[in-house]
Amino acid sequence: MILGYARADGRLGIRNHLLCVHTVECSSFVTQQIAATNNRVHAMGFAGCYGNEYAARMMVALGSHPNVGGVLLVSLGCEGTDAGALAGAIRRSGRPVEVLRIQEQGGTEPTIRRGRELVAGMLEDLERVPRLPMTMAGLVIGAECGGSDATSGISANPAVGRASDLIVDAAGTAIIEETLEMLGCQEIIAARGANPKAAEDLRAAVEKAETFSLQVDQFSIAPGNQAGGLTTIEEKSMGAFAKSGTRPIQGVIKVAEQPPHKGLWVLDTVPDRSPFGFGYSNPNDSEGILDLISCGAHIVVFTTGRGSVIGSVISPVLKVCGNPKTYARMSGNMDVNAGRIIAEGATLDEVGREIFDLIAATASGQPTKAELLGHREYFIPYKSQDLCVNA
Amino acid sequence: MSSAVSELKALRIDPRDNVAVALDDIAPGSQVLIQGLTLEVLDRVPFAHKMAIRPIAAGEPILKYGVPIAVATVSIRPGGWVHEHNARSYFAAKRKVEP
Repeated sequence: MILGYARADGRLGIRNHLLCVHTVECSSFVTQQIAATNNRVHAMGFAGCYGNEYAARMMVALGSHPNVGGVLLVSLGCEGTDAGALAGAIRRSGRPVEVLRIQEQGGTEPTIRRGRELVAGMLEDLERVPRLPMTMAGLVIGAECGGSDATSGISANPAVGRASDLIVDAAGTAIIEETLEMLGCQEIIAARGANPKAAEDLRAAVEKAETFSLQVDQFSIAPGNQAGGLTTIEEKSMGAFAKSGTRPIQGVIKVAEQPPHKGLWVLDTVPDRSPFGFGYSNPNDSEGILDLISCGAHIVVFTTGRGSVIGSVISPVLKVCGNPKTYARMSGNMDVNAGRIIAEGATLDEVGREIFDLIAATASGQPTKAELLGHREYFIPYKSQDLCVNA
Repeated sequence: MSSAVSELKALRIDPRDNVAVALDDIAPGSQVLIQGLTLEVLDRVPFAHKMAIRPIAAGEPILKYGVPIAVATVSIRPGGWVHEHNARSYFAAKRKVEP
């Protein structure tokens, strides 16, 4: 049985973390020093000084995430991001929020001292968060791939697709992203839309990703993908989309938006415009993971073929390795060996069920490999994105 | 080198495909059996890479998962390794800078 942490806004978390957020790179060291006192305190933030609406929305969504029970914002005091406004927005979710401004506190040592006092008090409050039973129907599961090779499309991703079908059938919520890795597949993807609006939104999201990739002249395919047997973005896309399983897709959401109802959703992380006349197509895997978490993902399932070691702040990351040779080399980082499908004749259904069961165990408190190793990567870039209105 | 035909060395994902995926490193001259088709592999095909299972003319699509995933830039013989040296993305023609 999963015992969720009941938040004041009614959401249920599967972890009970405290979040320390730096609102500019200048306050990141102090934030890390405050967070280092207790393993349940996660440090993250936005590096830019010039404020960004997207990044601010992201920090509010992460501070109000169900796995987070309280937030300490650490500001330098002169950056563009308004820590007080962020605090107000997160407080509306009922989470306790504190703000420290390093310039007001008198520098590094007084801020760290005061921050550690505040964190100690908030950790005591976290112990008193009520627990309520929850089922798979209450879970939001994100899926992403990184360090892909040509095994990803035949083992790890279709196995995650089977797990995604099980989640949807259990009345849960699944989110896949990476529309930049759906290029060339828009008709196949649009055909999966649960209704005409979903189909239209899915086609538009993939076409937007194609236009953006051509504009910035970057396609989401890296040298390691090609060394691993993926010749083109179209080939990578077909393999990546296998993570979606077979159930109807309810529609498209944007970063920091919660799916309006249960079922399978596609997250569009692509910028709607490029404020500086340039942009990344796909900054890195940690950005994608954090995007899924900003939409409420309790757990992110991450597939790899070449090998990856990353975890995340806030939500556990489960790593599914589709390449049996990589698994043999990096088993210390992998939670599931989907390479058994290639090397040992295991079926996609068997491995899909194993992933589903591991999601349930992780939700019940069992740590993932990345959690045990202490991986807490995150990445928030400058970006401009308009929200979808799915309500 | 063994002359035995290996059955588990390559996978054709969709019946429409004109390539198969190597399930191990395959040496040139190997015979592989792919869903009833015996193929002599012409090149070294690394694990998870693709080989042609039918003749593919220049300009023809490379079909994997039953869909075009690339276009052949030169003609490719059955058993030939298929990768960036003889196939490219359909998006390549639309790019500002040729890779």
